[in-house]
Amino acid sequence: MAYEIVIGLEVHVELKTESKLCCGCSTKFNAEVNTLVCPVCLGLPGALPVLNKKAVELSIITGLALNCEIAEHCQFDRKQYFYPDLPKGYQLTQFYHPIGREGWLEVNLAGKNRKIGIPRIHLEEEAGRSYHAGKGIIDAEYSLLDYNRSSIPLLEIVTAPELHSPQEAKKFMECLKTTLEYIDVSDCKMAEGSLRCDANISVRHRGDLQLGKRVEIKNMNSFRALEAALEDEAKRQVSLLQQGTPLQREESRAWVEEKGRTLFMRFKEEPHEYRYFPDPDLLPIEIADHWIQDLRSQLPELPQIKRQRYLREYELPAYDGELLSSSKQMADFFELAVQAYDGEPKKVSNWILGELARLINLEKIEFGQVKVTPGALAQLLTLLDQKVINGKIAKMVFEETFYTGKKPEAIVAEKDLEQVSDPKVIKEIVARTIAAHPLPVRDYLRGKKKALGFLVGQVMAETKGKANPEMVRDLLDEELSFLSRS
Amino acid sequence: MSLTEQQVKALSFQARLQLTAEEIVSFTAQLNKILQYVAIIQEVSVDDLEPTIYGVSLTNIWREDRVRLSLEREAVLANAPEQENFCFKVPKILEED
Amino acid sequence: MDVARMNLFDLRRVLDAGEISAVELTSLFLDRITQLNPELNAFITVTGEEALHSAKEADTRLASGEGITPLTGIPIAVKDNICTKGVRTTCGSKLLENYLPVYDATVVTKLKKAGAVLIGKTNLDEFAMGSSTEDSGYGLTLNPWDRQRVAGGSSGGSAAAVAAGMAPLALGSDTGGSIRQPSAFCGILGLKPTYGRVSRLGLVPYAPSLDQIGSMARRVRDLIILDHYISTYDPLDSTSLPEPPPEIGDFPRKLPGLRIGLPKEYFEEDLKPQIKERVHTVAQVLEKEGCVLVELSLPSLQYAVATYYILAWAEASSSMARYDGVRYGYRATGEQDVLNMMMETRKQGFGAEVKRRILMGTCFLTEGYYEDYYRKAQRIRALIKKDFEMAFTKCDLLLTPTTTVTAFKIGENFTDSLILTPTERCTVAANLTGIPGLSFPCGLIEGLPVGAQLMAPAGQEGILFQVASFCESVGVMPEKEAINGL
Ligand SMILES: [Zn+2]
Repeated sequence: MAYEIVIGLEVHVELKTESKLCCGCSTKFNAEVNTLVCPVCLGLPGALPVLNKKAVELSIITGLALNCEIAEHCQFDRKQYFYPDLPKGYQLTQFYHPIGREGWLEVNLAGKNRKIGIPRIHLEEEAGRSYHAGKGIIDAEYSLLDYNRSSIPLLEIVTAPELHSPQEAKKFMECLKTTLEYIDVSDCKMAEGSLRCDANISVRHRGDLQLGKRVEIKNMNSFRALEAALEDEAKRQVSLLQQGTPLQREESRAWVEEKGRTLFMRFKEEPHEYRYFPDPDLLPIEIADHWIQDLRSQLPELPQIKRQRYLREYELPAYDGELLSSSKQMADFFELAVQAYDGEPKKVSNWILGELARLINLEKIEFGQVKVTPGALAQLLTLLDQKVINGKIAKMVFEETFYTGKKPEAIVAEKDLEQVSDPKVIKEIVARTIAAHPLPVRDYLRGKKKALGFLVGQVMAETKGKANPEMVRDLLDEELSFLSRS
Repeated sequence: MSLTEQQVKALSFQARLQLTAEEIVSFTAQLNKILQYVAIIQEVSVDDLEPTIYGVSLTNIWREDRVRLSLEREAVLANAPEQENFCFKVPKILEED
Repeated sequence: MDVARMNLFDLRRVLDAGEISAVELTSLFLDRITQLNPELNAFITVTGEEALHSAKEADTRLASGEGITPLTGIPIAVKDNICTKGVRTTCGSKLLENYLPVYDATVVTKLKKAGAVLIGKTNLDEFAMGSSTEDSGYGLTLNPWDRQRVAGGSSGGSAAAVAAGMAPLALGSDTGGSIRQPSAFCGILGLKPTYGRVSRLGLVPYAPSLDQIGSMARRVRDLIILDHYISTYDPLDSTSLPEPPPEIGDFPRKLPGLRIGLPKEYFEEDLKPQIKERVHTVAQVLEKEGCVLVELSLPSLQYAVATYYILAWAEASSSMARYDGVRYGYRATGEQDVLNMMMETRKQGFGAEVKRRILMGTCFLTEGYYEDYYRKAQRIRALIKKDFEMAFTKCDLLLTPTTTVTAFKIGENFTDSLILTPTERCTVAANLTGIPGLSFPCGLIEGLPVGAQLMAPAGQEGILFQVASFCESVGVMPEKEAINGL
């Protein structure tokens, strides 16, 4: 029997502002505990919030990039619950009037472009952090509270239950992250918690109209964890269905990385009574059309559009287009290099996705830290095209550019790496090599064509790799066939 | 509408107020008396009016995204009932948020 | 020198003339506090040392002749729910018995800047929730006119302090009448300014959409000056009005022709006949001066108290959520986990009246009550606003009694009889509509002061000052003051 998996995601994104949502404290990551705290974000009696305009702006930009309807009117509501990391006893959020509604994100799933629904996005405050003394929250004897994170602006993005496999969920998150990076609204670092995601998953027999009881999964700190956790949970739910004992109650489970499993946390009780009501301290926001238009005009070309343009304009294969557009920095690099280079864009793409990607992975750095400039890559490719250097030397030069930032032309000149293409010079070395290696020569003449490679290598070695390899091969071939005839 | 003792107990838990059995009884009576009094508002029809939420009718009041000095850590922790390693210390947390 | 009986103008004169130093003046007031406060209990904290220190600074200013304002060297009492840096601010609650704010309320900063001397923190009903100052964690405040009676509340301490000459001026806060009612009970003047005219930053909130800080004094001119120095735009309070307040003495119009509205609902029901008579006398005096009396009706007023209870208590339940024993204030000890710690802290820390309002307010915000009570009350608030706007098309200001009774006996209005005699009946509408309300003494009944209330459209405090000033000049206010008996 076939099963259908239904997944919806609840994503939290820390917005990239200098100061917090309701006060002037810095949003810096990893500061010493309780050093980025003021009366407002500590919830001291009498302290009042003042809204950070940038946070509203970044929310609108995100809403536009996610094709949302932007609210004309929104306000902040108090979500009330008691928890030690919540300094006011309520969280400022947008319950009744989210800033964006009815959006979607187009994702390429199994070769098909699909629009995944985003029913709402809303702006809210981050809570503080608790550290549990002891092994975990359960057996801790006490907890410690740090309010540095308290009131950092957070955007909640909720998807419709329209994802149908763990891979789709992961792909959606990758695509969302790329989009958020393009519009530069968040650092999107899952490890630092600036991008977080909880998932709701249920399984049903294909064709069933009613959704199964859903399970909420928390604590997934990477895309890989998201995929693995959903795999594990889907498997569990399918096997429950197969045994004829489907889930009876909704529950929350936590992904435990070390065990590679999701573990039961608790059953979901009656929906929590949060007693939402509008906050009287923060006044409402009216978002005028011209403000939206203004922000829309500042939006960069989004990755989905860019990818299609690459295929059309640069005749790149789909694979290259998708990879290059998956990072704004890489795409920008690519486009600048193409501009500076007269040759085929595909060659530029090959070098970015080949050598450059290899070195970035090797050194475990971010694209933004790369010392190679798009102009340097264009220069290198031009040197290659003009046969000033050969392919092997080019890789060497590129590596040096990568580590030092020096221009390829400078490296070639400095190290005298210009290709040796003078037939007279090469002919001489070829003659010397043949004379010095009678055995391989004899092997070759007896039909062992492989021996030619050895001889080419000898000639190249003598020129320190600078000889034009085609010319070496041609001249060796010429000499040897002369020998064979004689 | 009136409240049962059970409901008042639930409200007191939501508000994190420990109440004695006697307090629940007396508060239930008092709250019901208040409910009875405020029921007067049910006699007027105001569906055509927008709720007044705020004390002033301003909108779009905000500040630019600039960092201001935070408090000295000593001031942050000055009134802490208990602290350790520059953090506020609380007894163990049993429930997840 | 009998400073207790002197008004601000006289105090200013002797200070400026060097007949007395600010330090001496402050000492005289401190002496009077030492003499009277043990019985009246108007102050929770007397800040003798700090006061003498700022008096000394004021003397330096006076000597140099630079930066002198009408308030330089003048002692002022501040209600104990207004934050004062380094001076404990209890809000009348045992929960904040040792709470030392780390910042000054904006009004306190303004007064310090003007050179005023903060002489102490005055008693109030816990978190300003009450109307007799009997619900204070620090004992009740007695009425200087009759020590068998309450001073009113919640700003009872400030009212008693000014009435008894322990301070010439005081700050109070008013959410449903908490400045005007005790002012009426103690025979002084009290102003609840237009919502947003005085910064709420540092005022420990009870119901933030209704709360305002305001001035209390024995002379109209004194009131005007204190009001002027605390009225300011504050970018740190989002609900602060950006328009600057009018200049001192900038009376907008002449009395003749001024239309004075007498809304009939204020003169019905349980209003004490002698109070009605006193207020009518005021009306006749004004009519004689050329004002036009306009009889009118505010039909929605009958819902005002119920509306106020619902909105104020709903907001209060949320305002009180931050007192959880985690970051500041009282913490119950010996609890094994954080949930029980919070439950016990709040049980032991809050008094009965605060608990009742938290419970009732929590109820108003739960599902099933939210729409029919909370949201409905907000719509009625709009209706009352509309009624007042309509009234202000027919008149320039309203004249009403401040209270339906004179100061009642201690214990008379306690706990659940509250509903039967809502002392807020005449005052809450100004909070619900955000307009200014001024109470001034208009005579005595059986030796107890009576208060008349003036209300004007938002921002028009000037007209209130003008009318009150006239009434004062023609001797509407009783010659006798509480001070005379002390
Ligand atoms: Zn802060």
